[in-house]
Amino acid sequence: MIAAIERWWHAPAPARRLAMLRVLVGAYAVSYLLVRFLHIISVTEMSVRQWKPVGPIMLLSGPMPSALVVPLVVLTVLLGVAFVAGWRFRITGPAFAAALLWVTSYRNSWSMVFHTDNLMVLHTIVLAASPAADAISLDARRRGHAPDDTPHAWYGWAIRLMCAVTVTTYFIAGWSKLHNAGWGWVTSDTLQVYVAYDNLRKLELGAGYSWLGTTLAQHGWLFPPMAAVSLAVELGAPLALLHPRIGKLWAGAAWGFHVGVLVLMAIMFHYPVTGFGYAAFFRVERLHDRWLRYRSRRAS
Amino acid sequence: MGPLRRVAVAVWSIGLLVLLLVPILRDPPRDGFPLSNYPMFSAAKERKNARIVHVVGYSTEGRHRPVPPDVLGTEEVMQAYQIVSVAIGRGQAADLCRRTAQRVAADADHADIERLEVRTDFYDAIDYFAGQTRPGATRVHATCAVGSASGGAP
Repeated sequence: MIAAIERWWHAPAPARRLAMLRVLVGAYAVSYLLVRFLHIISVTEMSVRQWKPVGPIMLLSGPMPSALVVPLVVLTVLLGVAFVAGWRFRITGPAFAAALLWVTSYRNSWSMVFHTDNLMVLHTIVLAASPAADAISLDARRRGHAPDDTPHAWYGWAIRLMCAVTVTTYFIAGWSKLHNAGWGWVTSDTLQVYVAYDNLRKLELGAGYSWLGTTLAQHGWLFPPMAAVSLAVELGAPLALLHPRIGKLWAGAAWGFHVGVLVLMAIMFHYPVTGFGYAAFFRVERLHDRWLRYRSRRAS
Repeated sequence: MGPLRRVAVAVWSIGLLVLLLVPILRDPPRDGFPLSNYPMFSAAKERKNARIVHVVGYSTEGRHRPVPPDVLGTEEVMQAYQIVSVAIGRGQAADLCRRTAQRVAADADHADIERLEVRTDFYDAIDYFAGQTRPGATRVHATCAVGSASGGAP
């Protein structure tokens, strides 16, 4: 039994698939830091009364000096570039994961936890502790060789772990709904009220809201089926680990779930909506193949 | 893969997955980062008495509108909500009102606003979008004039 689980967990994969995941997730994280730079450093102007440390930031007795925040974010971006490039990955990989964890945790330590960042950080941590720079990296170039495309268990486990982390986060979200509201979350008007309430809150705080969500909120019969599908996607997430095809189908359903949240509540979960959050369920080395073909066409 | 590597992978994989589950194994479950029980939108919620905390600006013409998140010091609407919520919860609404009034006074887009209120309004969340936009109940925590340092609890 244990041997079977171990074989399943170490399902062989080519080094390039894991390497492409490093490139994709790392590039997303660096872009996130750059695009959200001003937002991230805006905490330096927040009142200390908002201070409520989470994660590793709980080690601090109070906010960091403002002068430290900007250099730390810049350093994280630089480490992220090294992570993407696969340069001295044994050092820069874990360093980037730690720095990203610190920066995002610090950003979330001001009375509001943004659950949009969790999966990106967790995926980065998994990749940082894996041989994700054995291919498509400056390290591989320096060594003068990279593994061939033969699938190998050494590259498979980290991909499996990324998928398992993904589905676990969804399962926990579904579990919380059942734990807090029971099956009434599906059968009652709970989802309808949340859609209306969240849009009302945005409107009454002077922010943009979803016109479609507020319109559909007048039709209560629509919401129990939507709630059932949402909960099925979340609680059924672990099934995605059973077979690659089920994994792809689930990734599509989960993506649709987030698009629904965006359309009805104007809440954007960038990491899953852009597809990066589900990359581990796909043969992403094909993107590298396309890139190589493109380069070869241009060269000729 | 050698046996040592296999053990290391197993320990790391199982350890990380167990760590992810820790927030829901606690009693009560606990939110955090990056480990979370993802509590958003999970509790049963009644349509009546939807509680909204916000800062409302009153113009010289007697109209009113909510003060947007950027004037509260953030671009995120949920962070803005928390700023107001925390200030009210800790009895610091008057201080928030004064600080926001200073930002409003410095913002040309809000030149018509002469007075602010930090308030909690209660709505019927669904009826609101059917046209019933007046709050069923209101509690004003602080009021202050824009362009002056005065202000305090009502």
